[in-house]
Amino acid sequence: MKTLLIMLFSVSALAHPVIYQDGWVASTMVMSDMTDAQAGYSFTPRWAGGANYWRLRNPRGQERELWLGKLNHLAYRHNGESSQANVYLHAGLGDGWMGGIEADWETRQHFVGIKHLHLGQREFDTDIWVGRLGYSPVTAPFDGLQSWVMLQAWHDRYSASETKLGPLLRLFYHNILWEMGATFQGDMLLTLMVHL
Amino acid sequence: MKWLFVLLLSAPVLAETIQVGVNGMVCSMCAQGIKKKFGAEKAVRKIDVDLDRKVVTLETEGKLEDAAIRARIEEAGYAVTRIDRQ
Repeated sequence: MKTLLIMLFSVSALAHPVIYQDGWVASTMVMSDMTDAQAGYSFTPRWAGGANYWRLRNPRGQERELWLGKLNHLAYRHNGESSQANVYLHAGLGDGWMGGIEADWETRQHFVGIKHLHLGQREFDTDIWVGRLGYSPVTAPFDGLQSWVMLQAWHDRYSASETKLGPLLRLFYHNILWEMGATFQGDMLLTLMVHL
Repeated sequence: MKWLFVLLLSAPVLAETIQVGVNGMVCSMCAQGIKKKFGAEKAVRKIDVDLDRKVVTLETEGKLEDAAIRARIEEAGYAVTRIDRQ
């Protein structure tokens, strides 16, 4: 129930840290040993602020939770004729701190993204690295259901010493995005995002 | 005669179909912001986004300046390449 609530009210890995001006975004990504849930508001097309919740669990079953106020900045955007490229900066402060950088490039059929976050709290800190490659086999019209297959690599120094690799399916329809996936190590991955 | 003259010079003059070329429009979920931005414009009656042609088509029933069109597209995070009025 707690997970469901976080999913419903929470922006996560490699997806829209800053959206259109006056847009609201709520999202979460859940894996067995990690939850990243965010809610934010883009007050310009370059800046967004909001709240961010993190839960990380290590192999010994110890958990860390962070509640942060967060600022996201679109530092660079290239709007090409058939592509878009972005660089985002992240900063957060609350009962811990975080900082990070994210970059992506996409066309209607191809996506490449990388992200690095550093999270810290008293007597705890970790680095999270995420990389994604995506391909959309069908270019649906604006109002149609968009579908992507992606390969994600995820490394979190606190939760696991190894990098988790796995496929996921990304679907979006109008203002709702849904991802389902798994890692080759057997973890499930779920993402839900809404733009308002 | 006077009424005919007024009629000819009023409503039809204000209704327009405007085609806006937009760069960077690759993600339909992100481009929902374009619909939201123009949806708040009183002069806009209908909005159509064509990702293949990279064109936003606006049907208006009032005056919509080029500057306002550029501002709404930029607020949505995109770049205008051209504005054609019909």
